[in-house]
Amino acid sequence: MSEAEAARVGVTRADIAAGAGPRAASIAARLLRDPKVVIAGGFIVLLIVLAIAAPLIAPKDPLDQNLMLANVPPAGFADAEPGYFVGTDDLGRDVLSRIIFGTRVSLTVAFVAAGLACVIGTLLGLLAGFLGGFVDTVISRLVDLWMAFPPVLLSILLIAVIGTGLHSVIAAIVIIDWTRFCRVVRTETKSQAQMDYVVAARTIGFSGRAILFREILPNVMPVLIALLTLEMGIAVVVEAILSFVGLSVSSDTPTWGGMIAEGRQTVHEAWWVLAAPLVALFATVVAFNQLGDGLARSLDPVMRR
Amino acid sequence: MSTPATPSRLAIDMLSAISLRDGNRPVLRQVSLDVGVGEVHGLVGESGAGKSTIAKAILGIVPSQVKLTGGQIGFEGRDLLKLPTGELRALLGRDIALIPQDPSTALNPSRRIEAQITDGLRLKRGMSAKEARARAYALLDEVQIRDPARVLASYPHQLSGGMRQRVLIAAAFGLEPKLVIADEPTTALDVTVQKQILRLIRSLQSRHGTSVLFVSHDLGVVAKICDRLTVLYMGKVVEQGATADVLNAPRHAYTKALIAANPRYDQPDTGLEPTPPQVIAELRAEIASFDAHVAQAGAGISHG
Repeated sequence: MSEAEAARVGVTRADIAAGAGPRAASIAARLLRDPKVVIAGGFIVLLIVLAIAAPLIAPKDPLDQNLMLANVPPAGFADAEPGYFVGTDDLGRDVLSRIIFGTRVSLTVAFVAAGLACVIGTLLGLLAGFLGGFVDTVISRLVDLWMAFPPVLLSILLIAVIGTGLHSVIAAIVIIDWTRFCRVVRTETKSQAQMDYVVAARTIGFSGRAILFREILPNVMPVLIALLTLEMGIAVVVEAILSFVGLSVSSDTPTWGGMIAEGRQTVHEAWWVLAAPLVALFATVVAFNQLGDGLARSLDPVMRR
Repeated sequence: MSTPATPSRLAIDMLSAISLRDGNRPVLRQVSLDVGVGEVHGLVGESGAGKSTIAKAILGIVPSQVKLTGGQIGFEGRDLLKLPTGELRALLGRDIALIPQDPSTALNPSRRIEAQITDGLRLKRGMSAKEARARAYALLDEVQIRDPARVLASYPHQLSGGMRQRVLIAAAFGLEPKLVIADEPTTALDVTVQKQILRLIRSLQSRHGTSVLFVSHDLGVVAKICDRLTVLYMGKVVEQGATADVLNAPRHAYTKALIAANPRYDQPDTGLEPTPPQVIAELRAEIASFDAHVAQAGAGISHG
């Protein structure tokens, strides 16, 4: 290697040492030290893998009916059948496979609906909090008005109008829940905009947009991430509610909410059909909430020490 | 008032302002002051005297409850108050920079020092990321930070107060401005650190020929660093002149009282005297008659 090359490599190493390298690495290291993030995040990652690779992982076809093997109890109980770990429902479908396929709808809704609601609500919240005055008044009143509607009723009404299906469920959640983000982000932006560092940024002649996105947004981020993961949990529940009342995807796609509805009818003969999706739903929501909590703490440079 | 020895860089002329929240109470009363090229000009007064309002007026960040009612802020022949927002924005950072008062809140808590120093360099000097980083390193070196690479990679909360103030000074001088507004830059710091910071500002200023408007309530600090000074009381200029003249032979009773209020280490029994009530009464009467005079003049204009 020539001297010039060595020097160049040296510079690159120094650059890495002073720049992006330790940033990404130290954040990752910090996240991995937080047991909340590791356990909850690990669970979410597991769900994502299950959703993507469902056909490979699920032991049976989730739609395959076998009336000879209806209401088989989970493994370990009397009359359990080999290969049906969580038993079967009254049509003889494998409950475990249906849970695994159910993660697809739940996670799609969680990520897409919560993500869209987050983007829309955050943009409006940033504008309202930063610009103040007339813009703030209009957006804030709109949010107040919006939040006056009972959310579940509004979503059922919405879907009755625009029709059932995954898109409708996502649209309903986004339309209802952007206000959550808008409110929190607006308040947070307002308080950050008072800070000296924003004034300092103004005095070096930064434009409003640069101040908003470079200075304020990073400080709103920890709260936003906590809220986003919380919203993902909420989205999963809302989807389950809409499936439960038959307003989500059609019944040939397994969903946790749909399974709860079906399990409810046979709870006396086959409690596991109801219990399994409930446990899955519960664990997922708890995981999202805990992940949000841990992320917020680890990502906030002031809180981490 | 007094004429500067050097050509003037900042010329504030008859600047007046009122507080809209407080019954249109005057905040600045026809303040005039000049800061020459390469001069450090002290702006002294107790809290509420209008020091910060002047600094904010220059930087175009006057809070909404304060309204400027008259006067000019001349900077290199242009009136900053009449400059369109875009032009003022171009000027700020490049020609006029601020060293803020409280280093603990003036840095963005969630961004690394490097990003916060290079922002201005890239935006105002059009440097590439790489150039800006090299420059930031050199700047931290110039403000005598021992381990610039480590500081650049740090978040503000990982640094001490003095260190943060050095970073802010580096950022302010880094853009090679013609005028630096130092708004109580040492108030939030330990006395031992204060001294180093003052020395640093002075040496950077003289090396680059920068003009500095040094806002402070502390005569002791001002005496160490300023060439000339302006004493404000209730938004009115009480005394103005070369630092040594003002401190050694104050003409106004209020300035005398301010000097007497400063603790003296060599004479522990003196100092810490509150401003005598008759001095305050005199000043208030003076200001009241000034206000009446201005009101009369205003009425005269509107009647004529």
